[in-house]
Amino acid sequence: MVHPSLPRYYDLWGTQYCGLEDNAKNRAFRKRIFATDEVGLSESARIFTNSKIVSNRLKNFNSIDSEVLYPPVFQSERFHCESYDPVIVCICRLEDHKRQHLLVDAMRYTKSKAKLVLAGASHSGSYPRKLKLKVLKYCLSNKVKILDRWISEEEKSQLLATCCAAAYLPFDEDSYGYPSLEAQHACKAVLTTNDSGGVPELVTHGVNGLIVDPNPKAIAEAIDQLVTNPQKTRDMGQNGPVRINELDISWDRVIRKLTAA
Amino acid sequence: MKVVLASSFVPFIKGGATAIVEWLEAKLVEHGHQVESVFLPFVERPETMMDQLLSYRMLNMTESCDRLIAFRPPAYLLRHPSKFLWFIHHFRATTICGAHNIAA
Repeated sequence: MVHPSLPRYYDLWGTQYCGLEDNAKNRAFRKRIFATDEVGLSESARIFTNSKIVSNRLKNFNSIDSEVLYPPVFQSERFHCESYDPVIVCICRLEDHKRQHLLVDAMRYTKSKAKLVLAGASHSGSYPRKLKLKVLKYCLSNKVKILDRWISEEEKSQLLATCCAAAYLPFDEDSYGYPSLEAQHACKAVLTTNDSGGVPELVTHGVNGLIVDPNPKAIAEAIDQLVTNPQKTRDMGQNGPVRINELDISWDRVIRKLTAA
Repeated sequence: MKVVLASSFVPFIKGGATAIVEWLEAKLVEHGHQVESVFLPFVERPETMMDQLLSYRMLNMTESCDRLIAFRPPAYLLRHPSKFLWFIHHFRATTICGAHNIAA
């Protein structure tokens, strides 16, 4: 599997995922990239990042200290809550590394009345095709709906307004991801996996979402729990905005930090 | 304050990294600042990368604004005495690692 979201000169260097041969030419090139970082980073008056993960990388690879400045979503007031229908939504690009296939596979094992909606555009179309074939193969068309196209902001906020929870399970992402934040603004719990990278910076298991193993059966159990225990699901959703305030994810903070003397 | 937001972009590839710049611009304007957003092309191709880095480096923004805020590498190479960085990710090595679809 290709993980286009990962920097390969840094954390994946020397691993099988790097894709770069460890030879003299590539080593020299890597050295130049680090030298470039050195120039740009060391002369910056202030350095902010979008997550603890990126801050840690700056520390480990560049020996540079930075401050986490969580990126808010635009016009978060668009997101609201109308109901907690037994539907789990996943609204993000339909790509391999966003792993909607784990959700489709999970729906083979759910026992509740849960339905799954996947919405988002894709780069090539091959991944949505794979997902749709899976739906057919396992006869899931009454449980899984796939909207493989660009979703307007209105549609997105409407889907989030009525679902009971949102799923977001990227592989090893750099930050919590806008889909998680949008769901929390809509007072919806976030279902994610323990290998999703930055999502747990926002989501605490059992508080404002669920964090489970990245396998279909564990995810199915979590989905069933979200649907069959509506009070708990609602409580976790309501904790979303509390968590956002706690981390002070706001444009006021961003503006204050970036325009400071 | 006069603020320039600077980032790099891969021509004809739509990416999430531009949204954060556009949103920040709108919010800074709401707060009464004057803002220009500058996107410079950058293609991570080893054969041309050093020349591209040099081009970024030669651009001195000192007289253009009070504050430079840089995002995606190598925008941090632009020169300014009051340069802030909102660092979202490192270089990615997409070209060598077989992301040939960038040219498509």
